[in-house]
Amino acid sequence: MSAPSDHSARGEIHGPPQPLPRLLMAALGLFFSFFLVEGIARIQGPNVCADGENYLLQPDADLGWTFRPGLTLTLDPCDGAAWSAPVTINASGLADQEWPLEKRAEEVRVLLLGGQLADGIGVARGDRLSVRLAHLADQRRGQRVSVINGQIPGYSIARQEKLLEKRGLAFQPDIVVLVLDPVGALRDEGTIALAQTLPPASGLLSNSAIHAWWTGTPQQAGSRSARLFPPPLKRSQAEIADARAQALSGVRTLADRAADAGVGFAILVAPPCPDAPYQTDLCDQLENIAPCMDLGGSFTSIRQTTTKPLELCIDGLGRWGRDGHFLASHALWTLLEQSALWPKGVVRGYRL
Amino acid sequence: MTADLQIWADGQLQDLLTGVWETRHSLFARFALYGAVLASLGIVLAPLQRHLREWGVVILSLLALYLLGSGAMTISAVGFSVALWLAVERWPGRTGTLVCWTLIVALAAYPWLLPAELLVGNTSQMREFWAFASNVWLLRCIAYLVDRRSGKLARRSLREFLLATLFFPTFVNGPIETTEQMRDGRNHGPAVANWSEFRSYLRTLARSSARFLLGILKVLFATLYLGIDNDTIFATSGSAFSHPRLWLWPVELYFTFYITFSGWTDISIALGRILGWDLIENFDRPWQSRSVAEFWRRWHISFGIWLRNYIYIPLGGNRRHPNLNVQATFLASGLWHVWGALKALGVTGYPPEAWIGFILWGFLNGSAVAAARFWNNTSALDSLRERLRRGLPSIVRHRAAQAMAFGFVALAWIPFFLPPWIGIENCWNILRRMVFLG
Repeated sequence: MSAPSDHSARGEIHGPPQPLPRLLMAALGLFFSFFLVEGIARIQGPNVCADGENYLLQPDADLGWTFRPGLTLTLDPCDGAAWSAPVTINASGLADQEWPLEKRAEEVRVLLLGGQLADGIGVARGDRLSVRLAHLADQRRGQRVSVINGQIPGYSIARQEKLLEKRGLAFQPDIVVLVLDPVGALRDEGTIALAQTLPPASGLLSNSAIHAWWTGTPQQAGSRSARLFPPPLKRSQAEIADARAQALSGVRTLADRAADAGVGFAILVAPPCPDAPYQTDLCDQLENIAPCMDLGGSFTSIRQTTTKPLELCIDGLGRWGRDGHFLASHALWTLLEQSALWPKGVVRGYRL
Repeated sequence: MTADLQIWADGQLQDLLTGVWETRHSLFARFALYGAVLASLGIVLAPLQRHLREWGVVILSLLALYLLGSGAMTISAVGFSVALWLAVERWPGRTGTLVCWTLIVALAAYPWLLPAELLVGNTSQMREFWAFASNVWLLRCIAYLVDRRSGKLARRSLREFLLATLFFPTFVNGPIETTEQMRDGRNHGPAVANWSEFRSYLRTLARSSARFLLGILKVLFATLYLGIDNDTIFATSGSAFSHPRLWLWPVELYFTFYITFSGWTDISIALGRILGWDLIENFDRPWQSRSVAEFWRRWHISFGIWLRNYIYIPLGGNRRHPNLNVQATFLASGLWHVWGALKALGVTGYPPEAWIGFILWGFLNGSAVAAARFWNNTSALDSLRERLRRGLPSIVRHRAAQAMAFGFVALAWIPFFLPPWIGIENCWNILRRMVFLG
C-alpha cells in the first residue's frame, strides 16, 4: 500500500543510539530552516501595515514621485482584519510586473493612468483592473492584450500627462485609459515629504529579508521613501467650479497628447472610496473629448441589489476592493468595444 | 526568421517568469514553501524522544494551519479535534456515539452554522484552503469514529489522533490516511541512531527533495500551460474550436487533473518522508486501467480506500445489491466534492443547479462500474466473452479495454470541471459537437 523509504528500521531505533548523528541532523535541519525562511522572506516580502504606505513611494526626478522601484512586500491592514495583499513594484516605479519596451507582434497594449483609487494596492494581483482586463481577452482566438498599470497615488491629471510623456509612450500603448477619480480631480495636487529613513540593519543582517520581515519593514536601498500629503477638498462653489474647469482642461490636454502620439484614448469615471457624492454628469462634459463611461450607476445598482458582503472599497485604504476592480474590468472592456478602440483582432473571452 | 524566433523565445520566457512569479502567493506556493520550512524544523526535532518529536510535529501542523489559514481556524481545529477524541474515547455507549456523530454533523454543517468570516476571513485563498482541508479532515474524523466504535481499532492517544488528523503535509489535499495508516507508515525519520542511518536518511532527504521539486514543476506546468481553454470551451459549447482540438480536450482535462493532483501528492509524500512517515501513494499509473473500476483503484487511491471501507462495505459491498451500493458510493463522492465547492464559493457562487456537474460525474462513473460488473458476471454473455477471448489476441483486448476506460473517464471529467456559472446542457452540447451534431 505504501512505498517504503530507504530506512530499513521502522518505529524506534534498536540498540543504544549515538547522540552525535542526531545532533548533527538537528543542526542540518536548523541550517535548512534558516536558508528556506530567508528564501521565502525574499520571495514574499515583509508584511507592512497599511498605515505604512509611506514605504510605497519614492521621490523621482522626472515625475515628482513614483512607487518605490523593486519593492516587494505584503500589505496588511493595521486593525488585524483578515486580508493581506502582495505588492510588487517594477523597475519603472509602477505597481505592475516588468514590461519590455518592445511590443510583440500582434500585441495590443493598454496603459491605465490614474491615481490611487484603482491602482490595485490592497487586492491580489489577479484581482486588479489591469490584470482582469487583460484576462478578459481570448488570446487563443484573437490578439494578445497587455494592460500596463500606470496609476500612481496622488497624481494630478497634469502629472499623469507627464507620466504618459516621460514613461508611458515608451511602452508603445495602443490605447490610454484615464481612470478619473471625480472627487480627487477637484483637489489641488498632493504634496510629498521625505518619510523617515529606516535605520539600516547592521552586520550580517543588513541584507537579510528575514530581518525585514521580522521587523515589518521593507529593505532600504539607501534613498528615503516619500510620504504623500493630500490637500483638503475645495470648499466654496467658486473654488469647485474653478477646479472642475482645470480638470476638464487637463483631460483635454491629455487626450490631445495621446492623439498626437496616435494612441486611442478613453475615460472611466471611477466612483470614489469611501462612497461620496460627485457630479454625475461628468461624462456628458467629457464625451466630446473622448469616449467616457461613469461606473457610479453600476456601483450603486450592485450595492442596492446584492445582499452578500461586497468589496467595492477597502475600508480605510481609499481604494477599490476586488469587486470594484471586477466590475470596472467588464465595464471598461465594453466601453472600449463600443467606442471601437479595440483593434479588430481582439476577441473577448469567457474567463471570470 | 532568426529574429522572429528570438522575439518569440523572449516572449515565452517572459510569460513563464511572470507566470511563476504570479503564483508565488497562491495557496499552492504557500503550502509548498511553508511546508518545506516546517519539514526542516521537523528535522531539528531529531534529538528528542519519539513522543516529544510527535508532539513537535503536531505543533508544526498547528503552525501550518495558522500560516495558511488564521488563528481562529487553528483554535477551532484543535478544539474540535480534542472534543471529538474525548467523546470517542471517554463517552461510551449510545449517548456517546450520538454526541460523536453530532460533532461530525456540526463539522459538515459549519458553513451554515457559523458566519464564514469568523473562521475563514475574507481572502479567497483562505477560503480555498479551508474548503480543501476541512474536506480531508472530516473523512479522517469519520474513519476514527467508525473504527473505534466498531472495535476494529485499539485506543489511540490524543497525540496520535491529532497527528493523524492535522498532519500538515497531507492536511490540505491528502493523501487521506486514517490514524491506523499513519501509525503503520511511521519510521524513525531524522532521529537516526548511528552513522549508517544518518547516511540512509540523507539519501531519503535527497530523494524526497527531488520529488518535492518534481511536484512543484508538475503543478506549475499544469497551471501555466494546461486547461487554459476550459472556460471558453464550456461557454461556447466548443463552437469556438476545431473538432480535433475538441477531441483532444478531454485528454487534456484528464492530464491537467492528474498532473496537478499528483504534483500536490508528490509534495505531501516528500514532506511526510522527511518527517519520518511513509505515506500512501495516491496514484498508480491510472491510464493503464482496463476498466473504470480499476481506474478508481489507481486514481486518488486513499480516497478510494476510504469510500470502500466507510461507504461501500457498510452498505453491503458485494454481498447485497452491489450496483446500488456502487451508485451510492459515487453519489457520496460527488456530494463530498459539492460540499468542498460550496465552502469555497458559497451558495451564491455555487447554487444548487451547479451541483449537478459533480453528481452527474459520479453517476456516470457508477454506471460504468455497474455495467462492467454486468458484463463480467452475466452468464448469458459467457459465450460472447469467450468468442472475444478466442478471436482477439490478448494484447489487442487489453489495449482496447485501456483505450475505452481512458476515453470514458476522460469524457466523464467534462461535467466534473463544469464552471458553476455555465449550465449543464453545455456538456451535452460539447459532446454533440464532438460527433458533428452541433
